Amino acid sequence: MSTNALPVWYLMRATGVVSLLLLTLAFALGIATSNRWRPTGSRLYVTTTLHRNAALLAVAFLAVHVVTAVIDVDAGVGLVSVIFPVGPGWLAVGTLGLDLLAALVLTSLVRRHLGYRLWRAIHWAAYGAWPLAIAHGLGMGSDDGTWWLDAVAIACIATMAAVVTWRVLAGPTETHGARA
Amino acid sequence: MAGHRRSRADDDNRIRTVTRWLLAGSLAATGAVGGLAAAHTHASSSPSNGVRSESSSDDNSLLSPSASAPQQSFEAPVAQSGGS
Repeated sequence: MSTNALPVWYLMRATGVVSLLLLTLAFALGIATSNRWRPTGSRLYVTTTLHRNAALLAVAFLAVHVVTAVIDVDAGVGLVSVIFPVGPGWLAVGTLGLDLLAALVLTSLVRRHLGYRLWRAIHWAAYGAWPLAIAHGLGMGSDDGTWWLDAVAIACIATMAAVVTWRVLAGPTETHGARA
Repeated sequence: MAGHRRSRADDDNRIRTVTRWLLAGSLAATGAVGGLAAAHTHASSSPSNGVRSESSSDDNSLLSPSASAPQQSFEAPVAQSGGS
């Protein structure tokens, strides 16, 4: 199934932007979980569950983004370049980010069988997906120079800078609970 | 300490409420960004300003639309006469 209908192309761009926002939120909540932050009066599992829900929403929107990219003939994204980073330029960067996220989701699904240390190592490596995602979004150039894409990029970068700084300043936290 | 802590049911409700708002916000944002993308495409649909032409499908601007509205590529069948 393929199409060159403009609504599909708009949906691809919109879901890409929204999944970047959700990904940023999920990463921020993940770092908040590491820092043992929780909303006033709530238990830590509230932060953890919101982190997971935001990540699942990001994956859902990302799935729509990928599917619409594949079926849109103007996008020219093949199935191979969805899985392997063999597409041109920024498309390959996006594929690499997608692969990292897929590794994150799959290892989280089988976390009980992996052991906490291995799962955590893969989970942290997957944080590399975020710079790849934002580079892909800005580099593709479809909405380059628009005020709203600039606003989204600035908001995402500022949020990540803030939470990473917060994480670094907080120092190591106890992880033997293994409930992140 | 446990006196001012919310109950587990309160926490579950809080998670549900925030998740619903997150979903609603994401769907609304998708609509809004789609509209902005459409407006941007419409405003920049002249061939000279970076929007991909039909003949440049292998360059780095893959995710740009054709400048024209989608069109059907087939032609109406023509009746053929003849045969034995």
